[in-house]
This record gives sequence, structure tokens and C-alpha cells, in this order.
Amino acid sequence: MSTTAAAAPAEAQLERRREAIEASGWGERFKLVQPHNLCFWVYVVLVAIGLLQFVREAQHFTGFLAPSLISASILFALYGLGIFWALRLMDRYAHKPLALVLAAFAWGATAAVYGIAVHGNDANIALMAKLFGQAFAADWGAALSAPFVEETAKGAGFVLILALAPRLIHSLYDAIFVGAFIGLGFQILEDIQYGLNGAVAQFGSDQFGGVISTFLLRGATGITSHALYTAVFSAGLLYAIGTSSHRRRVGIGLALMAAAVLAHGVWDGAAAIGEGGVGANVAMLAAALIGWTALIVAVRRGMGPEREWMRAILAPEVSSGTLKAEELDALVARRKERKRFIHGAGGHKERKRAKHLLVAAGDLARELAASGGADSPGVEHARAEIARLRSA
Amino acid sequence: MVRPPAEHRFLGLDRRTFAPALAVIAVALLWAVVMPLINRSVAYDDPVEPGDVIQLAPGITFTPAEGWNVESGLRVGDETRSGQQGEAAHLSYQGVSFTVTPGPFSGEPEELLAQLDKVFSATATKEAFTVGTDHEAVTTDHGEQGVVASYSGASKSGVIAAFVIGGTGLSITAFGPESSMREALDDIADMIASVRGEAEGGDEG
Repeated sequence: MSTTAAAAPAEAQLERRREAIEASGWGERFKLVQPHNLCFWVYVVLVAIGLLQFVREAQHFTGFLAPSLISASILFALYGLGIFWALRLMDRYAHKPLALVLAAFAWGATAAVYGIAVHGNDANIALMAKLFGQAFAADWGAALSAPFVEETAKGAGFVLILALAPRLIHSLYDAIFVGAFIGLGFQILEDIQYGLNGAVAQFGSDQFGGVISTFLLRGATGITSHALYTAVFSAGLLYAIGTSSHRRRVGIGLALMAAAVLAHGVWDGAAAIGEGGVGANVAMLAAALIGWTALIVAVRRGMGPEREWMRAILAPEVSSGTLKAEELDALVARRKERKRFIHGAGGHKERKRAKHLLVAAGDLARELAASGGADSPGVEHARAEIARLRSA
Repeated sequence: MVRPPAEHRFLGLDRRTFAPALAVIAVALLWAVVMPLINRSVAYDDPVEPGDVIQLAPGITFTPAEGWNVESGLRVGDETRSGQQGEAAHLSYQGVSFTVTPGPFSGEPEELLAQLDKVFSATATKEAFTVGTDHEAVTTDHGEQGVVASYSGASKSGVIAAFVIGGTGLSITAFGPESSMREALDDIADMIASVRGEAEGGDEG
């Protein structure tokens, strides 16, 4: 609990703020174009290959099958935007720069799907059919290939982005969100591809129907999909690699990566594991449970440094009287405690004000990080907003 | 743009970025190059034996010609844990491809053939196959009625057939170099004639 009294911020607090801004990387900008960084060139080449492959695929759907391409693209783009927006909202400490999350999304949508995964999966499944028979490939082909091919293809993007933005991605929390955006890009393009397959599967006779039934199925089950797997896998990669915020812990890293692969594999192999019917649904539920449990574990582990940085950045604001100690406590607390703070504020109006105050306090922390702790116009505006909300 | 420190510089690049970049190149090469090469180096060796029957969808089968290679597709008796009852089948024989694709369709075989013409024209890659206008009615040994037509591309020719059996459409294509096609025509005709649909509880015809 913070117990500082209202006074001028002590130099020690301001020093801790500067250290937190430095350590957190909050407020850092992302620059993709880094000609001296080999990872930039690898990123560009593989994204270009993936994009080219996608354009070649899409060309087949420009004539008679254009309605399927248009409807699948619109439906899944809207769906993707919804999840994109939700992920941005959930990133409640320092929002990752838009350029960074778009670079992550682009890797998932192009290089990972079309540059790498389709080739690996096709080859692996065909090889399984040759070596172990058609029935084996029908049952286990996707489950034994996709988790390894796709998680490493998406994880490769995380490794590149980590090397392109080491100051921005060094906490577990960063890894989870960047991974989720890579996975989302993969998921949306894969969904569009499945929508097109659905239209062709009916010989193009009911293209909208084929796309919509795919959309309903993939949309409903999309919560346990690539965004989740890659968030967990990237958290594992971060642990396995180690950063300035998390020392290398290969065991935990491998465990998280294995959890992502396992959840993905159980989901893809649910029909065979559960022998169809209800058993398949139980297997899918188990996959979701594995994935979500691993994510919750990772998020809980990852929140610690983010909270400490948030507290260190805003502590001088408590000393200066801009924020109250209990507001800062609520801001860095878990969701449950934050809710308790809001509900304890009083009536409906007070509860709304408390909620908005927390949002404004978060804005102030981000403005402070962007200005390096200095009193920039953005910082002054954020402080004024807090004062306005308090007096409303 | 800040140059890398001299001790970390190699051809203008920062050597410290090599390890992650090379790791990613290794992953991309493994899945996009090495595994496809390994797959291509292993030939399909699953020839059709006497008595084999290919399951396309619940109750819908055909008898593949002996000696043809099954590249994909489930045989009757292939037990899957998932309970999957059939899928598209792809067979090959001396450069000739024979593919049967089932899918939901509620129309006449002629209508399905017209749809297939549109789909193949749209999705054609190198070969740009077109369906000929020489449509002929065909009845299988089991009494399924369909339609067959010629099917040609830039360097290959073949036949295409369409059947609709109880709400399931079947697209059948067979094509290859002309010399191989001539040799395979009897087998192709036999396979088309063997298409059989049986609804649960009796024949569907």
C-alpha cells in the first residue's frame, strides 16, 4: 500500500520514476525499418513471400468465386477488428505502439500462414498418409503437424519482433500481447481461407451460405484459437530467451511452449481423441482448459513488473496530490480489487467517476513515460483531466 | 540511423542480430523447403488391391481400378477414430490423375457440371481446364445417373463427370497426357461406372 503524504515528490521517487520508465520501455517508439538489423531483412523477405502466395491464392477467387472472397474477407475482417480492439483494451498498462502490433499481425497473416505453414502442413500430412496410411492421416494429420509447424512459424515472428524492438518487448506481458496479435493475424487469414474452402466445397452453388456457416463455426470457436496459442507460446519463448526484465528460465519457457502446442494439438485432434460426437466436444473443452490455464498462469506471472513500473511512475503524483494513494493502489491492483475500489466509491455517479479516474491515471502514466518523466503538454493535460474528473 | 559498433559490424549489419535471424531462417527452411523435399522424395506406394472400395461419403462409394495408386481417400474398412465416413479421393496411374470430390449439392447432374465448369475456370492455375460441350448422360452399374463430358487443358486432356446422389454431389475428373489417357480410359470408365450410392436402410438409386 502506498502511504506517501501530499507534498512535493521526493527526489528518490522521481529517480525511481526515471528508472521505471527506462526499465519498462514504456513510451519507446517502434521503428520497423532497421537496415543494420538482419532480422528486418528476414522479416521483409518472408512477409513478401507470404503476401505473394496469398495474392496467388486470392486470384482464383476473383471471377465466379469473387462473392466468396469478398464476403469471407469482410466478415472475418470485422471479426478480426473486434478482437484487435478487445486486445488493445486488455493491454491496460502501456499500450504497445500501433506500428508494433501491426507488424506482429502482418507476420501472422502473411509469412506464418502462407510463407511457412501451408507448405509444412501439406508436406507433413501427405508424408503421414504415405508412411502410416490414409486413416491415420485423416485422424491425426492436422493434430500432429499444425501445432508444431504453426506455433514455430508464428513464434519465429515473435523472435524477429523481439530482436527488432528489444526495448519495447522485454516483459512477459509484452510477449503475451505481441504473440496474441501475431496469432490473430494468422487466425483471420486462416479463417478467410476456410471460408473460401467452404464455398468451393459446395461447388460454388451457395457461396454466401458456405462462407457464413464457416464464419459461424470459426467465429464461435475462435476464442480458443491462434491468438491464445501464440500468446502462450510467445510467453514461453520470452522465458526461454530471457530479457532484461525476466532472467532466462528454460524450464518454464519450455513448459509454456509445450502447453500451447498441446492445447493446439488436442483441439485439432479432438474428433480422433474423443472418437467423434460428445467425446470430441469434451476434448475441445480440455484443449481450451489447457490453453486458458497456461495463459492465466503467464498473465499472473507477467503482471508483477508492469504493476511495479506503473506504481513507480505514478508515485510522485500521489506525493504532489494529483492522485490519491488508494487510486494508485486500485490502478495497479488485480481486476477484482479494482472492481472493489470502483464499487466502494458510492452511488452510480461516484462509481462512474472512480472508473474514469483510473482510466485517466493510466493515461497520465503513459504520458509521463512518453515524456521521460518531464512535464510535457500531454502530461499537463492528463493531470488536468484527473482534476476535472475529481471536481465533476 | 545508427551504425552498429565496429566490433559488432559485418557487411554493415549488426552481428548481434544474426542469431535470431538465422533461427527464423532455419524454421522457415525446415517447413517450407526441407519437409516438402522429403515428402516429394517418398513416393506413394498404396496400390489398389482386388476388393478395395473407396468410401467418399456415408453410403457413397466407388471401386478403384487395380494397380492405381491411392494418394488420398479412405477405403471401406479403413477405421478412423473420428468416425469419419469418407472424403475426397485422389488416385494416380502413369501420369493420369483421377479425383472424386463429394460435397453438398441439391440439383441435377447437368447443373452440377455447369457449376464445375465455372469453378474450374475460376480456380484453374497452369492448365486452365475447360469442360467440353459434348455432355452425355451416363448410368452407373448401380443405376446412379450422371453426366459426362470431355475436359481439356493446355497440355492435358481428360473427362469430367457429375453425379448427384441424395443431396451429395460428386465431381469426378480424370486427366493426363493423351497417350497415358488412352491407356487408362477403360479403367476410368470402369471406375465411373462403379459409383454407388446407398442410403441407410436401402438403395437410393
